[in-house]
Amino acid sequence: MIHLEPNDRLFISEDLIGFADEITKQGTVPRRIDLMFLGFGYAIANKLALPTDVKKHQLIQVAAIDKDTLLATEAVAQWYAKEIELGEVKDEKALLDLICFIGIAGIRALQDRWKNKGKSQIQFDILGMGVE
Amino acid sequence: MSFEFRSLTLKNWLVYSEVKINFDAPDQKRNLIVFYGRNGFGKTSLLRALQFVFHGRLDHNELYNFLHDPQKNAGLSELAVTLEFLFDGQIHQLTRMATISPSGNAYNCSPSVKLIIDGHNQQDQIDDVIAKIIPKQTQQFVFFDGAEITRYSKRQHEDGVKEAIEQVLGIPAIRNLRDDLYTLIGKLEDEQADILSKQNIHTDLLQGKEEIEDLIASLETDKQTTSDRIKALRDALNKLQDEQIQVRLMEQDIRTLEEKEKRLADYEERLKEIESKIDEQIKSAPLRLLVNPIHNLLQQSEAKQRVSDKRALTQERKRIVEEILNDGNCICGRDIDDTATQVLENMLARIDVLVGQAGGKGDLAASEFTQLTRIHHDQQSKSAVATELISQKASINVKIDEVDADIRKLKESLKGHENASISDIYNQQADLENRLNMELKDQARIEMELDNAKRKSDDIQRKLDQSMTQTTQGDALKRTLLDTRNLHKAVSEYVEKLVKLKRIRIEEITTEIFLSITNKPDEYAGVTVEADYTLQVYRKDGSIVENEKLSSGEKEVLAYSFITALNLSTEIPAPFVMDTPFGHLDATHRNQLLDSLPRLGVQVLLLATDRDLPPVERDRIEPFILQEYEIIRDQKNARSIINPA
Repeated sequence: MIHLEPNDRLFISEDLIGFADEITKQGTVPRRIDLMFLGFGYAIANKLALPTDVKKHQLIQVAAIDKDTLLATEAVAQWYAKEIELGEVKDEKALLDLICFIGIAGIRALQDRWKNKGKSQIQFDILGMGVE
Repeated sequence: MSFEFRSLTLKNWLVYSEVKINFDAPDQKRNLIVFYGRNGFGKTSLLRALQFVFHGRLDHNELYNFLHDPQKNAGLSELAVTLEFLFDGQIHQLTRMATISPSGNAYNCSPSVKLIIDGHNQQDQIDDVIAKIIPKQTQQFVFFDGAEITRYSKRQHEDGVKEAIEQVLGIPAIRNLRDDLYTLIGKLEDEQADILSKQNIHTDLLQGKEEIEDLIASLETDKQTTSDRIKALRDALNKLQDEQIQVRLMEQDIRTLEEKEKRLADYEERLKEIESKIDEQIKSAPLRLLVNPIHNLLQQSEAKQRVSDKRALTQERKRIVEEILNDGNCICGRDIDDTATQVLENMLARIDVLVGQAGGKGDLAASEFTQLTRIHHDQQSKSAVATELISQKASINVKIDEVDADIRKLKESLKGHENASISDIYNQQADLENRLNMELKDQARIEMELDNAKRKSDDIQRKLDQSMTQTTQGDALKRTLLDTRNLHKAVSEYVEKLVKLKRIRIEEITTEIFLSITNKPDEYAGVTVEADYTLQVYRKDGSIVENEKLSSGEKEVLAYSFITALNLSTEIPAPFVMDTPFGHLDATHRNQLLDSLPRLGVQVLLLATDRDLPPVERDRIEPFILQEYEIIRDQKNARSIINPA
């Protein structure tokens, strides 16, 4: 299995910075990277189509991510690539792009899902998602 | 001895043209005579007629106002009210009438009154006879309407009410006897002083007596002033006790508020903990979202592992077949022929295909597989915790909302009383009690001085009396004076005793009636009738209920209990006439008051609207109804008619 390069940085698309800032500022989700992983999980669960055009905005380094989340994300991303017939992931860069693109697709869907919802409602939604 | 109405005849009286109502004599079971009528149909006209026939002192304009409307333009008219009643075993027929004729812009009215007792025309002193039957001041206790009744429950009576009450109780007659005796004593003493001064003896004694009597008068005034101050202080102390109860209740509220605020803080702390756990859960939510994909990839990985094992076995088989082909010998030692070689080559080709199919590198290292299995297991168990946290947060939020609402309500009720302190009240109470003790000491001192002065006065009087025996006239006067003084003393004691006994009796009856009607029988213990005949309700814990805090209905019940008690305390209780008496009463009060009417033992005329006596309640008191009348309005002729219902 291919692993991400520790010095690489994850990214989201620039159009999502405002939403990510708002949701972290309210304390709904602790960090932007947590939102990214939420988006990743949501996109996988709902088999969302990946975005084609993304202006990247860098987040934290791969090394700062906790090991469990990192391993699960790497493994599921590569599994998912086969599932949606993208084929084998070739290298670390391709894996990074794949993970971030999936995450961005998920965050966009969540942005729509959480329109007009307050902090508690969103948190309940997040906790509920895990038990669906 | 009884007092019962027999008939009422009205002529041109208010809404009535000509009406005669017969009243049956009450028996032990039935005493209620009910008149049903809507507002404006003529219930109060009946009440006014009864008031008029006993004590109608109306001026010309008032008389004109009582005239039946259609008669007002008829020139000469006559209005008359006749009541026939049994009183003290005699049939009385009392008629009060007036002829009314227009005179320019005003009216000439000629009122007259006629009383026939057992067929004999009473020629004079009719008013005196009526006053013995129903004294003017006391008619308010016999004829009352619901709208005015509550005035008897006030903290202070209006002028004349106390006198009217004492009139009912027969106290003025005894008091007059006492006062007459006192006047007589004064006259006899003046006469005695005259005799002694003519004899030019004991002028010093006479002067001393005069001085001591001035002192007694002054001490009596001081005693009264001190008594008034003591009463005022006791009232203030009672008021403080009420305040004390209020403040105690408030302090209880403050304690409850503090407890609730502490509970709110605990809940908020708990909420913080839950929210912190929720944050943790939110951080790990992405992993929980990956539970299913991880499960799938782990299964696939396991499957791949199994294929990988199979591949290793197939490759071993291939190596053996290749060795046989290369050696050209079978493992049994014989040479292999072409056919066998062909079979083996085909087998080798199939093995290659199988190896190719099983080819590709394994995705997960063993350590990665183990790690992902653990993550999968952890997240599955965390899902249940997340659900639990959601319901915990919802439940704690409900509790916080409830406690918060309670706190707001308590704060609202305590608004403006934040500084109320029981210690302030204790201080005021201690101050009042000190002053009360001083006043009581002062009162004791005055009473002692008064006793001394009276003893001195008696000594002087004895000496004077001894001197009087020196003449026949003086001796006779002395004996008369002595007898009169003894009589005065006895009557004075009797007046005090009588007033007290009557008050206690009224208090007992008022309490009995009030407790049978009140809707708070478990809270209230009774009614106190004060020396000035004002009323106070007290609770079972002994605390007084401020009259202002009684509801309108409760005031009405209190007043009804009192005036009923007053009437029942007279020698010959009068019939009761009650006009729409249930205005302020709730259903419980109304029903219990209705239940009390049969127990009064006098004829009761109830003037009621359908709201005062709905069918269900009417059916309930049916066994006690003697007669029922319906007041009907003849709108065409602008008059009311009374028919048996």
